[in-house]
Amino acid sequence: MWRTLKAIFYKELIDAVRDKRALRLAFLPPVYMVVFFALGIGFAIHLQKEVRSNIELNVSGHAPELIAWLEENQIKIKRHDIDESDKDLYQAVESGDLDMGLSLPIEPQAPGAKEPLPVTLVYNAANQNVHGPLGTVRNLIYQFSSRHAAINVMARGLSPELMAPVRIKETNVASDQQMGGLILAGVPLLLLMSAMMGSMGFAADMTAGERERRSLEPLLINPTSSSLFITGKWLAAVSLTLSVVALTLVLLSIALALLPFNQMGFRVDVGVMAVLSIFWSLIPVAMIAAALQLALGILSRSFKDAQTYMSLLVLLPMIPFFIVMTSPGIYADWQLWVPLLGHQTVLKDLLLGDAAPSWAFTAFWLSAVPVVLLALGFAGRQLRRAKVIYG
Amino acid sequence: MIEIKNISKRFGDVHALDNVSLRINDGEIVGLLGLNGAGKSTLMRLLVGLLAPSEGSISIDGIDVVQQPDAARRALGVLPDTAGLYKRLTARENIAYFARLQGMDEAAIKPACDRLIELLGMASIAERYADGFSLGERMKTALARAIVHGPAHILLDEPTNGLDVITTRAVRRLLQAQKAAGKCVLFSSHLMYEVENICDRVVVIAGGRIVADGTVSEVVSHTGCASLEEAFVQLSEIKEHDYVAHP
Repeated sequence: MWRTLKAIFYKELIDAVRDKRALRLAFLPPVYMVVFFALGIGFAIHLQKEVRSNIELNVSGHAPELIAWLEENQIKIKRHDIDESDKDLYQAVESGDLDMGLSLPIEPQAPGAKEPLPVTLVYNAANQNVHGPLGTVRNLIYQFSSRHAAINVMARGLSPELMAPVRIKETNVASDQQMGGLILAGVPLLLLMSAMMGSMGFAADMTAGERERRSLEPLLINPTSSSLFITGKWLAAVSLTLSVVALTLVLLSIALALLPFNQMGFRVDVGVMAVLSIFWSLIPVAMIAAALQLALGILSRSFKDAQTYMSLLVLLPMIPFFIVMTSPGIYADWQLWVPLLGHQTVLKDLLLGDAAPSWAFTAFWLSAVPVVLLALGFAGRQLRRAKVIYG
Repeated sequence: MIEIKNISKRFGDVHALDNVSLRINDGEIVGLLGLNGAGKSTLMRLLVGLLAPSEGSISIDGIDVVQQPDAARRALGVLPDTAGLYKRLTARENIAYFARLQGMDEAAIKPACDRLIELLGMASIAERYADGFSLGERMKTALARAIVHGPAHILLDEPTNGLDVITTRAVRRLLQAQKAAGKCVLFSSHLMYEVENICDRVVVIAGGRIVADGTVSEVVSHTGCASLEEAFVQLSEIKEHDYVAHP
């Protein structure tokens, strides 16, 4: 039995590898999906940089160190010169002449001063334009503050770690980084689509293709059970899908490593372990996809019919994508047991460097088994129907 | 020995085969003659268990086709009416794939392929992809594929269709050799001279029934015709008419 299975598997694999049409259909989409993805992100980063480098800040008063720090961080400083404290700046912001302003002490602080530096951020919160730049400036001031605090503490022989009893790890989806969050949310979809589509052409050829060229009759005259045929075809389809997924992952890793995410203010560091975990969790998806494709393919009279039906499968990962997109808070443990739904969350976690729930992989694998068995069982029964053989 | 007992096959209201009984003895070549749609292919499909009979039973060397289809299939080498080759495999790969599906020993596959490739004069196409094959080349490959495992009995649906004279002769020699080895050979054909040349027995099927069964001379003399062709036409026409008139 194993020998026969091996023979079927190899035959389907050879047949597929020599099929230029199906090869193109399988291995080109990952390439252009990743290329478009990289171009999209590159463009977004470019826009972001543009916005950031265009922040103008009107400043009154004096605090040379702080101003130097802001300038170092690409904030354009404009003097809003004053004679008497911050009245003018307030008025300018209030009247809408300026988006926001920073009011500093009139006299520069003496070096080694012990009091906090009084600074006032002036803005009109009703002004929509101000929120992005305001967050950036505010963050820079906080950063400046904590750096100085650290230096002061160190000067007194203490560890700056003492100043941070809590360390926040930010996976930030704040307003100016929403674009970034959106893009990372799209990566699991991209991966799931490549797993769902990978063997479409091959599966269509193995089932509808056999019907179209009327090779089922001679094939089934052999003393080989139809479940063995379907299993062999399925194994070949799964292997092909996995090579497509592997290609997608490799290309994606290269893109993620090369894209300057740090310029967008967040870190994307997808390590080898994360990539392997993602691959591991995509294997069950490939198994489900191949089984469903074979089941749909055997119902189709021709290669073209099969492709039409199978393209509906590509829509499947979109459903959980939109569920997760529109209500990110609804994640629950049971979702891991729904193929494709749990993947959306877990893949994103893995991409962001978090660990997946420990039994996520078990859930993925176990929930794939009944789907695969049902689809293959169905396909196997269809294979021997006279209508399918001769129809 | 192949034994067909009271087989009927209906597709909805259409009686494709009606109470057909036939026994093919070992070491016998039987030609199956019939017009298009007479039921030849249906009979072939029932013999390999791809269709289930509405009534009756078929056994091959005592093995019931319906109950043990795989055991029965192992005893058969079948050339169906569609070649159905895999276009992206070479002729040799096509043949070897079926040899493996039949469960042949890996070591025995290559010599068996080589023997058939030589016998059918396929040396020039053995390593070519089946994609561009002519009808004759497809037939030869399909024929080699059907008998590569050395089956006990052979069923061929129009095996000499599209073959040139040299190859037709090779096929004839092949069938004679199978007969000499004590196998049943059942083959359907539209070519009267083909049947006259190599068949020990002729079975004429018309309207889903067997209308004549015997040696060529028996069938010819029974109908009072001068040739097998005339006898065949007469048998087919009468029975077809009969069948339509009194269903």
